[in-house]
Amino acid sequence: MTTLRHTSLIITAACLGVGYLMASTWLLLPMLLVYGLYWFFTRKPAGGWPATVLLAVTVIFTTIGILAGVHVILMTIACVGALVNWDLTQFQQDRIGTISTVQSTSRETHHLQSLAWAALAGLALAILSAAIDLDFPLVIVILLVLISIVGVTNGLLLTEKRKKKDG
Amino acid sequence: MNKKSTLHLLLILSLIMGALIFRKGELLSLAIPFLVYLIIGLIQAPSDLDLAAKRTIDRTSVPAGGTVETSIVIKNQGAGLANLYLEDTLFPSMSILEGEAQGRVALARGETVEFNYTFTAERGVYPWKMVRACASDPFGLFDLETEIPAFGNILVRPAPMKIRPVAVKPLHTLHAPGPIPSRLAGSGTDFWGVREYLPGDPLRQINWRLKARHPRRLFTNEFEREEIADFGLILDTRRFATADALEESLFEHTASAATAFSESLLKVGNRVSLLVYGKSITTVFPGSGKSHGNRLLRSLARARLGEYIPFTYLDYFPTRLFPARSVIVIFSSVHPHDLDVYARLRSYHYEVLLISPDPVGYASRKLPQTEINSLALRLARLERIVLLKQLVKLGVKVVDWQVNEPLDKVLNYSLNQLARRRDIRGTQ
Repeated sequence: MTTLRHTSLIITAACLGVGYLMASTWLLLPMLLVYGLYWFFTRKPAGGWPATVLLAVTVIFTTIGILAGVHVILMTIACVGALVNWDLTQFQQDRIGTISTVQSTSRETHHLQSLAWAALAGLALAILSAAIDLDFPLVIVILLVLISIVGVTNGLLLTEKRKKKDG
Repeated sequence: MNKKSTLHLLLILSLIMGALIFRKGELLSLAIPFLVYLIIGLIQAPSDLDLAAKRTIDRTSVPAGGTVETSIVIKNQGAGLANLYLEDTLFPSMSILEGEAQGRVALARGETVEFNYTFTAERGVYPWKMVRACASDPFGLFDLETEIPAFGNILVRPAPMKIRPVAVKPLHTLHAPGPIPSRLAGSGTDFWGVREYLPGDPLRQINWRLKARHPRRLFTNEFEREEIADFGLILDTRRFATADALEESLFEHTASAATAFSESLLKVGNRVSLLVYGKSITTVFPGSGKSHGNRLLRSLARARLGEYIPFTYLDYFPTRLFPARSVIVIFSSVHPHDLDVYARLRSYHYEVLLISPDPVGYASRKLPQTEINSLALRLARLERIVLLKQLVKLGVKVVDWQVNEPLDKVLNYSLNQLARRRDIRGTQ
């Protein structure tokens, strides 16, 4: 699990680094500093918050990278890597209280399977969406975005309500 | 929705807003992995929980400081759960020695999981009603919480204190066989006197020496009847000072003494009632036997120090709790304002025995030796001596107990001293 977490972190840093190098931007230095600090502080168990901070920072770095003209696939892979790293860190935190080793293995397998599906499907869809070149007027884009935001939020709230009703 | 799902939603919204602000469609692509992650979590989130729990505690009663093993078996009767968090209720005065009272598991349909932990707890009654369960998707994004009924109960008795039978000799006894000499002739072991023979008297009780002196008459030996008595225990749970830790610690000794004393009284068949007097008042009406002992133990285990209230509230207590002419045993450090109540109890013809753990002596052993402390302790000791002397004058049998000394030794010594003084006064 730790190896997987470190691998995802290296992939994220590598994608960002290669992207920034290709765009020859000065952002490479702060990016390396952030990842170096993260590596330094998470050598010992430090709770889940450094991974959350790293996820948010990676999203900011990838956004800046796209705005700076870095290739979108590299940035998407970096984002997925950060997401996997964040997820595995949180899982390792939760695993401290696992009742038995048999239970631990069963949970771990199930979790890793779900994570692999989410990461691969997310990456594939993101690459696919980047490849499709659709040109909409801004008004329609805004309308679509609003519809999707309202849809997602309502969907989540509805699920919550249903669960409360069942409970 | 929990913190994790909120974080993802915020990231997605930020990327969408960024795409709109900068008019960069590629930013929308970055949001897709997060959206997929959220959707997969949502799909796998449990919609309903059907769990059953069974709690097993290795014993029902344990002395304070003893270890208790708890085992909880959870069975999943519903759909499989990928991420289930279970947490048992822990009381503040409990400390876990081994195992965990919470944990995460994955439970397939029909599967069971058992978790065990060993704990130690302070004096009290600990009732459990449920185990908290929180199921969520594998990523922990969408939670579903429930409480699974799992009843259990344990009584943590006051710390054990071994005392030998105490020679309390009440003036009034109940007419039922017991261990207390009743100052009445009847069946017993101690010689009481001689009376003229009556037809039906057992031949082995005839006094043959007296018969030798009076050849034409027969005499029968009489023995002192041994009976049980009524004892009313009052455990004072009022806080007198602000030295919380010291008072709490002294109170534990008092509670242990009350428990040991009540057990020794019940063991020989006496009737015992109990009043736990403080901010919360508990009463146990007179009774005897093992089940009554358990009732007393439960009340004594629950007793906690509370804020100070005057002792005069005792006036409103039913006399059924303390039958007439019974012995009232008060476990209290004594407050100067209590004198009136002791006087009233004596005026009602109760025999009052005060077992007073000495707070001054206890504090002197615990507090640092400074000039101010020694002066304060000296003053407090003088005040206490005066107070106890006033109580003795009221006819209260006072036992000034240094808690580092065995209670039975102090009790027997004090009661013997009091009996001797009474005998001396009687002969004068």
